[in-house]
Amino acid sequence: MTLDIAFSPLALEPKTFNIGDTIRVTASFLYTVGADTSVTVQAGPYQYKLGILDRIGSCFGSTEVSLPKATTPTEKQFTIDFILLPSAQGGIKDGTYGLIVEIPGTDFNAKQDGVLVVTGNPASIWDMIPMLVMVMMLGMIMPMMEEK
Amino acid sequence: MIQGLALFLGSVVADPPDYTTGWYHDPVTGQPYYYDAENKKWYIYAAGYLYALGYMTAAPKQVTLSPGDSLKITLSFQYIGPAVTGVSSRYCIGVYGALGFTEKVVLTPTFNIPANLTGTPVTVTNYATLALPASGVGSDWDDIYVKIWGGTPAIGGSEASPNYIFGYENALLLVTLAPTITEFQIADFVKV
Repeated sequence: MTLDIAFSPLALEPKTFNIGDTIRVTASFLYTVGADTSVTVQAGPYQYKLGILDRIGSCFGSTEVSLPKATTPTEKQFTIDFILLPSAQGGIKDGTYGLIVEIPGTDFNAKQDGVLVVTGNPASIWDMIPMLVMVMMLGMIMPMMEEK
Repeated sequence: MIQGLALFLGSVVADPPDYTTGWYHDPVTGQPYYYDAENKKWYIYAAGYLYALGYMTAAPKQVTLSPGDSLKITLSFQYIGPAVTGVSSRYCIGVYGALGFTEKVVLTPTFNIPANLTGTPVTVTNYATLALPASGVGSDWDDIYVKIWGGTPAIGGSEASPNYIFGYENALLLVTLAPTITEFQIADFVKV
C-alpha cells in the first residue's frame, strides 16, 4: 500500500480586531542566496476591487530580514507589526480583509483572503448620509399620503 | 568552497590510426561503434540502431555552487600504451544550448600519461579547479565539458576536432546573489 500524503500550510482562522490595534504577523520562507544579504518584507491588509488586489497601504508595516549566505534551502522566520489606522486618518474602513506578507518588487508572497475582520471606526457624518436621505424622503412623502 | 565532479572519457589510445569508414570496438568494453570517415562522425550501436555520438549527457548528480566558489573537475580514462607527454586539455563551465557550448570559465592545462605496457588497462586521472567569478555569474552556467588531444606521441584529434570529449548538462546548481525563495507562508497573526 502506498500512502500519498501532501503537506500544505494550515489555513488561518479569521480574527476580529479594533481600529488602532497593532497586529504582529509571524511568517517564514525557505531561501538560497550566494552571499550575505537582506530583504525588506512588508505585511498588511488587502481587499479585491473589481478582481484586483488592492493593498491598504496606509496600514502596512515592514521589516528588514537578514539572509546569511545559504547554498541549500534554509528556513527564515520573522515577524512584522502593522497598525490598523482609522479610516478618518486615511486608514482602513470596517470590514473583512485579506492578509498579505510580501517582498515588494518580487513575486514572493504569502496571503490569505478574509482573515482580518476590522471594526470600531467611529461613525462619521459621511456614513450617516444615506440614512439622512432616507429620513428626508420619508418626511416629504408621508405628509403627501396623509392629505389624500 | 570547492565542490567536485568527475568525467570519464572512455579508452584513450596513443598514436591512433587514421580511421576509415567501418565498424570499431572499444578494446576495453567491447562496445561497437561505426565511423563515417567522409563526414568524420562516430555512431554508437545499441539495440539494433545507430545513434550519433554526442559529447553531452545528463549529469549523474548536481553540484551546488555560488559566485566565488570553485569546481574541481576530475577526468579519467582507461589507458594501455607508451608514456605520452604534453597532452592538451580544456576544462570548461558554461552554457550548452542549440548553438553549442558557450564557454564561461576555462582552464587549459597540459599533463602527462605514464606508460602502461602491462597489457591491462589502467585508469589515468587528471583534474583542474575552476573558480567562478565573485559577480556576474548567470544561473544558466550549469553545464561542463572536458576534452583532451595532442601530446607526444599524439593521442589523436585536435583542439577543434578532439577524439576525446565529454560533458554533463545541468551539472551545476548556481546559487546567485539574488535570493530564491520558496514555501512562503504565514504562521500566525495576533494583536500585540
